[in-house]
Amino acid sequence: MKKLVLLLITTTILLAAPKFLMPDEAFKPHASLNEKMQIEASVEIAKDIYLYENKLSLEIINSSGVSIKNIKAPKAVDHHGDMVFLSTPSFVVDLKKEDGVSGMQEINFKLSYQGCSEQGLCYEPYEKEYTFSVDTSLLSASIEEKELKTLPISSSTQESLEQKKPEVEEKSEMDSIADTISSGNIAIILVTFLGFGLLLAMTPCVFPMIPIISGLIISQGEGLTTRKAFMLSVVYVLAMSVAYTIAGVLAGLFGANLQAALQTPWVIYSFSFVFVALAFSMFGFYELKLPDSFVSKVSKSGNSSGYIGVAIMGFLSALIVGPCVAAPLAGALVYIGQTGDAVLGGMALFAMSIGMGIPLIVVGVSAGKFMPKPGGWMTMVTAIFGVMMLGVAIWMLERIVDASVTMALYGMLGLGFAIYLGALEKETHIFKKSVALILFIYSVALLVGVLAGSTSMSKPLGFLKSNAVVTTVASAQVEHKEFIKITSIEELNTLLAKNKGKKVILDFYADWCTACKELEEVTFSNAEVKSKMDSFILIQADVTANTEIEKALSDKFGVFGPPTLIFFDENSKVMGAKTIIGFIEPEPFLKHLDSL
Amino acid sequence: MKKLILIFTLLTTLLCAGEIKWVDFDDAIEMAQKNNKTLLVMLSREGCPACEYMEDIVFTNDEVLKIVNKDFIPVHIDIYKGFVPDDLTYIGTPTFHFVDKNEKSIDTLVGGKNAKTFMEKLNAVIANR
Repeated sequence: MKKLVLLLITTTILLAAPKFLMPDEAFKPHASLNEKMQIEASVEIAKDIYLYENKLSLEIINSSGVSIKNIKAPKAVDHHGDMVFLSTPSFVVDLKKEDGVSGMQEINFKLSYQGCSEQGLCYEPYEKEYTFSVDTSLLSASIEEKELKTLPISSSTQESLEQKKPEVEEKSEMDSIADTISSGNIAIILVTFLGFGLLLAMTPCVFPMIPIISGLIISQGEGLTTRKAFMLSVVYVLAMSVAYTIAGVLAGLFGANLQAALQTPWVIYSFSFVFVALAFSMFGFYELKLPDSFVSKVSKSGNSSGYIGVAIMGFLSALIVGPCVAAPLAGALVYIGQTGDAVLGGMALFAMSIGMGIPLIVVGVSAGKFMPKPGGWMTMVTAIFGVMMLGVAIWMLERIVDASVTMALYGMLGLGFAIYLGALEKETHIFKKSVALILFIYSVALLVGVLAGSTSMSKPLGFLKSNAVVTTVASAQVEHKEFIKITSIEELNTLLAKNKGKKVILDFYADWCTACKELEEVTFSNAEVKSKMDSFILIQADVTANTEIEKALSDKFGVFGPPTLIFFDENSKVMGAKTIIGFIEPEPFLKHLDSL
Repeated sequence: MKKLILIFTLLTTLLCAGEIKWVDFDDAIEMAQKNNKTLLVMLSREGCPACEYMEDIVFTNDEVLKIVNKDFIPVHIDIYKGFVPDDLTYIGTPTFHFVDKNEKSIDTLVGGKNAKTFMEKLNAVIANR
């Protein structure tokens, strides 16, 4: 039969010596990205040229998290026993993204083809690469489809793939949350997010708000009723929720991280200054009040004093004090990013913020309710809150100044407070004096620690111990891996290439991120976690400065903010479902590591 | 029935006809230096219908065989498996190079040809030598 086929070819191989086209004349490949984020590709072929179907391939060759979902291909025809395209074939490639991929992604698209001339010449295989910038917000996530990086374009293969039971990929917490919103039932969404908010209230993101709201309420001073305390707390929480919602919707729609943008030194300095000013007003140096004329203009009832200030504080503290990213927040952002539905996503965010704020309202009301009557105790309580305010101011400075500086400031603050409490006086109540003395000793230790070069608040005198350890049990010390710090995609790629075949943990970190510090001090310093993490390559992406390069790095992995932990398998492929967003305790983290 | 006869004819042709004795490129150059013959280098590869056509139809043609075996040293290089000397350029397969004893390509034939055209080319190369 083969002979017969060959005999047939005889008729097509012409008598006269033909002039063969050069390859670039015979084949003209084209590919472009359309508005629907589909790749339109074709290989224009000259007269008498044909292309082999099985030699034609369309692939995405870089690992950008974007892959081919489906290829619409024309039907090939039988040509002497081979399936070929006798006229220019055009393809439409649908793309999809992996879980957790967002923003603009560069993809390298490769079009490979090989064909022959009817006049008796088979050309070399050729390939052409194209780079496209894909807006992944227009792509669907690859939740239900099996990953297929390349698809043979044969239509029969495609059909069989479609018939296969779709393999449900494990979802990350973030995506399950995004799915919750997609479910559409508004009541369920709001209640779920309110619940998430309540859980988040127990994280370090919300802790700094507790002294702020109590301080603000206490500073209202005399005439504060429980009702007013409640109203003030509600105003504070509402303002905080509005801030979270606006920041979240902006982040979801435009990928701009408003919170990170506000972590610039001058914002931090000025906000710290506000707290210092508040503190001094509590110490009774002066009274912080808006001018009466202004207050009466804003509201007719004189009772409104304080509300505006509290609202502003609530708004700003959400953005500046506690910029935390947690799974529910990221989930809502992903939903907004994917669907562009800012209303539903925003409502979810608002419900979550209210949830976060409920404990704050409780704190605020009790601060108002149990505030002692004016007198000696009252002075003491306001002083304590004044000190707390100063503490918040120093705590904020931690993000931008050296740890030794803030430690010295804490030491000074503690010392001053201890003396105020009467640590050095004879006529002090025994209880008060003991507390004051303990604080005094600790503060002195802090200052001594600073002078000795220690930066640990919990072990300021650790340098004494570490010397002893070195001299006695040095050999028992186990060396643990440290995070390798990077800030750009290039650095990451180099490291990934160097550590091929090993699993990698990529930790997005920023100095201003409270939960990141918590993660380091509680989880990463846990002995068991440490030894488990030794089997991974540890890379830390420092996004403190929020520069363009750092933003690009975050965008590449769809990271909304730190802390986010991304895991790579041995082939440097992101295990999307394994991503951890926000703080995680050592126990579940160990389990998580085991599941990798 | 017609088909059967055709296949039968083709098979007998194949069995009765002589074969091309393909020679290794380096050996062929040595032989060329001794006999003052020209190399006929065929560049081919798998999955190339025109190459198959040349091997199965043209190179089994008695007249072609006669000329090739008399005046040329046939060399067959699979461009993916064998080594292709730099001088032997190609844009596709099959490509034929006529190579002299100094390993220089003196003439080229691009693409598959039927026996008649192919022989015309062979004769032209002989005439120009």
